[in-house]
Amino acid sequence: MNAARTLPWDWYEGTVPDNVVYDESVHLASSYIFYLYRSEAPVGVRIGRGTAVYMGSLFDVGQRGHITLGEYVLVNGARFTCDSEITVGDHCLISWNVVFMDTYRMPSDPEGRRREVEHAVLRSPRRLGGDAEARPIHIGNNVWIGFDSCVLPGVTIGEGSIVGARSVVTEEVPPYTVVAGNPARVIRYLAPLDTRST
Amino acid sequence: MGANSVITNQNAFQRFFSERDPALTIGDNCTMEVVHFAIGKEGRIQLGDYCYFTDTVLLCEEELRIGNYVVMSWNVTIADTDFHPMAPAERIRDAIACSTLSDGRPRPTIERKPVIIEDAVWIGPGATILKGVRVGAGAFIEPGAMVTRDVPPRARVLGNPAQIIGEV
Repeated sequence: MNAARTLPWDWYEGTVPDNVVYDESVHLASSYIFYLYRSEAPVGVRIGRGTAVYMGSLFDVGQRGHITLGEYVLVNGARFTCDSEITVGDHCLISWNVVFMDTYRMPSDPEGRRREVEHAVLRSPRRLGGDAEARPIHIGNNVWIGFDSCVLPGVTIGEGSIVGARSVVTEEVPPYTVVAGNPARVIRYLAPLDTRST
Repeated sequence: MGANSVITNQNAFQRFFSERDPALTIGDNCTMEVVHFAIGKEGRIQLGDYCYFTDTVLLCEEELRIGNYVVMSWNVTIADTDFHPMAPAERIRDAIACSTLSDGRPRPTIERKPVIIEDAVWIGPGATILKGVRVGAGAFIEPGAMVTRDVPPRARVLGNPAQIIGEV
């Protein structure tokens, strides 16, 4: 990694934040994916060997938030909203427009939301970022998440599972399970040692 | 457009064809961060104060009425029409009228119903609100919800189609 932490192919004039840990085998599409990044954790994002984070991805990480991506992970344009912790295991396949949010960044009562919107207008730049409870998200190894899906606060997805496209995952997904729908429901179980391609 | 309100994207009006006056009113202290105001000829959108929208598409052929303190997150879509007729024969007419070989005959009438979003509603990422829906004050629309029916005030809804899962 070069000292300036810029990416040679970058179209955006930014840098990769200092507390993002990765090695030369990692591909980052652009430093733009960090434009909402504010983490002050010792390690804000840790990215494992062989992992690629492609364009359209976004690390919207709050001050205390931290994210761990495993090895050989494919992130093909996912948005991480993180104020506590999001972990993604090895060999995960994350499709486009997938949203991981460990917090709503908004109080759930309407009065609190009104106050938050009033504060946002006074900030520069104008950003929403209400105090809301954050509950960690944990994605096991070898999980495949289809496009446009959304993983809500506190969700754990077990090893080897598949989330169908456009699903909204609201509760725990056991290992080696296929879930789909909004809200996501179990539609099939997978055999862990299955090697058939279809 | 009211005091201290901003629209950040240059292409906000790329699909703005309204001939009504006013076609779009925005209250005070609104933040429109990448919002598409796709308003048809007869469409009209009204926004109250302190609205905060990010990456939102507003599709309007008749009327969208949005209150104060409404927040919409990424990839939210609001539409007051289904854009094409339901009836098969009508759809054939519509397809021809929209095609490159259109003979200039008008498109069939397409159903549209105003969408009303009351004060202090939060709409999560990827949610969609369809035509004729009224979302009650303070409601909380969970991420990815497909809202096809009215939502009572302060209700929490989730799913496709959206169902009430609680209260705020």
